[in-house]
Amino acid sequence: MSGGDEARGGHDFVRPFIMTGGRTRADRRDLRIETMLQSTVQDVPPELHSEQEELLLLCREPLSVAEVAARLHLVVGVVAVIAGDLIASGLLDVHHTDPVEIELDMLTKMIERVRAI
Amino acid sequence: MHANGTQPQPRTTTRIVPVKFVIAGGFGVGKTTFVGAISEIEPLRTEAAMTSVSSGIDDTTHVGQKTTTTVAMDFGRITVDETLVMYLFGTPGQDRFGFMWDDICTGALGAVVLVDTRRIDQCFPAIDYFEAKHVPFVIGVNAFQGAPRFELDEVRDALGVGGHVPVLDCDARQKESVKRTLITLLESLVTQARAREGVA
Repeated sequence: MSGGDEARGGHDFVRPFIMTGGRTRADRRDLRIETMLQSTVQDVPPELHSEQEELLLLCREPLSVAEVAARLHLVVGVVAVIAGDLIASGLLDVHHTDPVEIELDMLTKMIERVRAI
Repeated sequence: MHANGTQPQPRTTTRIVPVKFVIAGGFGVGKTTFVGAISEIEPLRTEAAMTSVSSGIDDTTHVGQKTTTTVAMDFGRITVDETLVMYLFGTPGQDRFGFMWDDICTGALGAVVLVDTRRIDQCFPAIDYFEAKHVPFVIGVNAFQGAPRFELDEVRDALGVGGHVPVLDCDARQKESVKRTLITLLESLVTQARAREGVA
């Protein structure tokens, strides 16, 4: 892989690519905008860079990828890459669901909740 | 309190089920208003796509020429209980962002297609998409001032959707109307689930 070190320009625009090591695809392809992320640790290991740290602190309470992106002012793709690394390190847990896993009682609960709004 | 916190210690976490719904329709049809009417949080805005370049991405030589395409996407949340959370995502309105739809819609449990009767053709891409991907949807006919009034059956005919697709009036500014639209979608999902289980 060539060119990995060339992304040192001072551009803000390049910054996300440095943060993600030039990758634009998460290793975890199953991360979707509604996938919820949750830290597995209360304290952040010292060797992490600031975006990883911010993400872990934010996800002490479970938050979706989209919410993390909005709160950290990052695009969704960048959050997915950062999260992918943290998941691989065991620092972050994911919660997600496929539509086939939604059961009748969950639908009933959703209807009741929306009625109560 | 968390003296050993620097060691990644797997915590037993309760499984949480996030459920995604997509609010689609043409530009300015009221998608964000719909989300805002019912979300427990102020609708959040996030940027979806990061770049139009999708292959050969390990080579950063051409970073300077990369066209960064970011698309604003508004979304809201409704927490059902500690293990069940609903997310409502508005799709970007313009046709030219169609390439992003898979990113937004994959895994969606259902969708609401909002229709402006003055510009009825604007919702066709959304309907085509959800039909092709087998995402259940309802049609919400948003009544704008000065818009021609149609019977819902006329709208159904114009859209060419089957009888199994609920079509109802929906004023995105009215909370009760938005609630009714979302409940109609959920009830149609219940009906489908029952039919699958042979309980109907």
